[in-house]
Amino acid sequence: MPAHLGLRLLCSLVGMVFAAPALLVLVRAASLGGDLGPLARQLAGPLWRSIQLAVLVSVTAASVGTLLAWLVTRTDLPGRRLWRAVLMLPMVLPSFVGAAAFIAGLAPGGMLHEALQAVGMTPPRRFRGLGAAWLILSAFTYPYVLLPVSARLSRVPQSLHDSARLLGHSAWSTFVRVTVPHIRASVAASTLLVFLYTWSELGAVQLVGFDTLTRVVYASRLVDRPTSFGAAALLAVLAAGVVLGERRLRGQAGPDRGVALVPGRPVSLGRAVAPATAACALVASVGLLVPVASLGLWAQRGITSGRIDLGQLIAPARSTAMVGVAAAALAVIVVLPVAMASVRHPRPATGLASLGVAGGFAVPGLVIALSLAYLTLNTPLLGPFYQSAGLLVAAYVLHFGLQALGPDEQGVRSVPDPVRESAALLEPSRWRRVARVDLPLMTPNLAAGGGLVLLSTVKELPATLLLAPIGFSTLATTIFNAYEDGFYAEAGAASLLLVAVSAALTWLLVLRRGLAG
Amino acid sequence: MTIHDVSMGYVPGIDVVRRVSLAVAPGETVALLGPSGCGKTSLLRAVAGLEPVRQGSIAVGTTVVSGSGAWVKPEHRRVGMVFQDGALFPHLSVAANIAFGLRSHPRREVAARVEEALALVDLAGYGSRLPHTLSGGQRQRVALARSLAPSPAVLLLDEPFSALDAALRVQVRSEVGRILREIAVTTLVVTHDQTEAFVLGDRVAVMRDGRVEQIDTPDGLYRRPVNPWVAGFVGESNLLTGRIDQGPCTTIAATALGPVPIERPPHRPAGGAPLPGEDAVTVLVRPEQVSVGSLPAGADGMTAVVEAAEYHGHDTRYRLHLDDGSTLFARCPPEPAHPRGSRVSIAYRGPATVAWPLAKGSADDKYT
Repeated sequence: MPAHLGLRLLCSLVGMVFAAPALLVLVRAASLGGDLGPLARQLAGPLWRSIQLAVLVSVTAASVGTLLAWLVTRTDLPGRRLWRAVLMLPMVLPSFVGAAAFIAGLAPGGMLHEALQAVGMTPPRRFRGLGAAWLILSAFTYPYVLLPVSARLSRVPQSLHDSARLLGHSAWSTFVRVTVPHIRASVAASTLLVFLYTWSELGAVQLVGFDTLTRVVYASRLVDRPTSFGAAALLAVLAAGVVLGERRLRGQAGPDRGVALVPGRPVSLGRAVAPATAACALVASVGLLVPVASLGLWAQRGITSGRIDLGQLIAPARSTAMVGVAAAALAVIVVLPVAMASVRHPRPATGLASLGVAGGFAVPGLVIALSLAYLTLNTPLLGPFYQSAGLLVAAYVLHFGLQALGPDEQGVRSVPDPVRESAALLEPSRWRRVARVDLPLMTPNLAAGGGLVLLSTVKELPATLLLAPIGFSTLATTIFNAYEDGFYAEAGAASLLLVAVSAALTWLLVLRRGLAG
Repeated sequence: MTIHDVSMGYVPGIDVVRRVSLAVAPGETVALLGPSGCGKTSLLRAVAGLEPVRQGSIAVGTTVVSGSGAWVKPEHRRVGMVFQDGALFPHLSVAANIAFGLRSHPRREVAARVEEALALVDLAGYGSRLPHTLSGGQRQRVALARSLAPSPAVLLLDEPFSALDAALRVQVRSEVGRILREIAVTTLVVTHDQTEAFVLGDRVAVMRDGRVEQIDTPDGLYRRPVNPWVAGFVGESNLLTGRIDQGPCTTIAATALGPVPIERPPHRPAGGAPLPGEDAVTVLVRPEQVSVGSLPAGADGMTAVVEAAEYHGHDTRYRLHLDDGSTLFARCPPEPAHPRGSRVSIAYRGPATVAWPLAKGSADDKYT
């Protein structure tokens, strides 16, 4: 029997399971097929709008994120360490909550509405369409560029800049010829992630009424199967392409080799300090201050008027925690064979398996949900799973498993071969070895992976909307439904709770590390 | 290159370099030697124009580049620098790295210069490689070639071998020393390693706490350190207390090792009697200046007990316990061997050494 056959089979199986939902949608779309002409005409508009929005948001997030990264890492901007932390924070707001905050803020009685009236301006009557979707998604996605690019920028060794200067290059030429090549791959990779985020977005575009492919899938899933699956197939195919590109770029961005860092002199902004500070303040207001204040105002009004009962939030909060923790634990366990196989016995097949796991992440949550709903409704044995919390957990695991894969691999790496070999010599029982050596060493990484999955499930909306059993509402669905119905006060309190949970998890799992680097 | 009365620092009110003056003759290599944090790298960065000076001036040739109201940007100083980590641009090939500083040259000349620079550092044929495929030593040689390619007026080396492992360091050090002598470029090299300073430097400037303590040839520094701290930093040293016994034409110090001949202090006329209070001195005795022999002892009759013997092949290093309770290190030929615990005769051998008035060379001034 070939070595590690069991592990390798398990690894391949996991990879196939993760890739299955997207493949199922493609097969189903092909079989429903029917009249391609009308379908193409129907989908052309949404496809064009999806591309428009994703491209606009990507370009905006890339420019804003890179500029801010440069400002907070390489210049003498006053309070740049504080700015660095504050400017990351918009990533704690799910974009549908951000969209809701702006809609509620601009509605009569909302904070922005009153503020605009106070300065004698007419508040816009509605907050809808491409402009609104673009503003919202840019404001909440640029941190996905800012975080990796500023980490990358602060790791460019000062000696490289110094060398370029001493070899006769001006500050500008040094930036173009030394700094830009260093961050190019990182900017490109993170921009593709923003593209993917926007591409899969449902909540925000639904709230501002911008008809993208995701909205078509959502709206037509029950009434027009061919359209729904056709749109989902389009979403899946392009997303898969984007993820492949991102992985290739990330390989290039790779870790840089150990270098001694000389504390560099930051670039002096001079007279540009004021506009730079104003830019940071503007971005922080749009991405953080205004939405949180707007949500807070509505929540406070609701509570003081006695219209909302905070006790009503307990059930959705409990549901959110339950499915989130279950999905986190399951995801960490399910991708562990892939992590073990790809760290200890890397082979083309293990690479393919981790690509399958990545595929689950690439495909929009909406598509996975659609696929799972279709599967359970059409497979006799799986029927009982439809409309169960278990199916929702499964969708979360398939969609967010990738986020546990990296930490799992780190965990496997933290038990190197010499350690396992000495453990084998000292402790004959395999299970006790796992309990006494492997688990204690891996726990921090596994916990971090589970935390990342939990964070994502808390913020997830589309799959939850599609798969949550009737009467089972999470924080995300509570907020979304309340805003769709215009109950701003109720939604404000739930949103603040969601933002607080997300902020705590984001700080622990993402920012604390990112900012340290 | 001339550094005149330079002070600099990062925090207001605290100078890390204090009033340093130093001149490097054309084609000469001067090593700045000192413990970490003594300001040597800061001084080097000031020469490169990467840090400003607070006081004094720096001139390359006859052009003042820093200080006295002058400021020449780093890119216009014609100064080359090799960093600790090599600082090769990871996204450029070896040839593109070397050509990076040759922007103003016509294209045909660039290729020729790159070839020339690669041949100089013995890496001909490596032009198309990427930096991460090179070994640490090769990377440092490329960095050297890159900084030399634009023909700088001054070359600066900042701890260029500290990132290499021990065996490689010796090899690359000799190689770089050969290249520097071959092209005779004016060079300032910063190091905390005495051997490195001695191998590379025509002269060595010892720095401590932001000041230059002594500038001399390696031999002068080793044999005639200006104070006990320099003596201890440059090589291994025994510091013995002694009393000056002024003979008619020689100066002798009576120590626990027996009589030790002392070089006439340069500031005092020959045969002059020691000033009051200056007859008590600290005497520098290098371990190889202690001779160890079997009993019976010679005329002076000094003996000691061997506390430890380390066999190094080319010599043996003894730790000796003297009768007055002090400890003395000696380096002797491996034959004859003196086992641990045996009593041996000891004496001073070699030319006259240096001594400092005890009051000046107090114990807390020693380099440890």
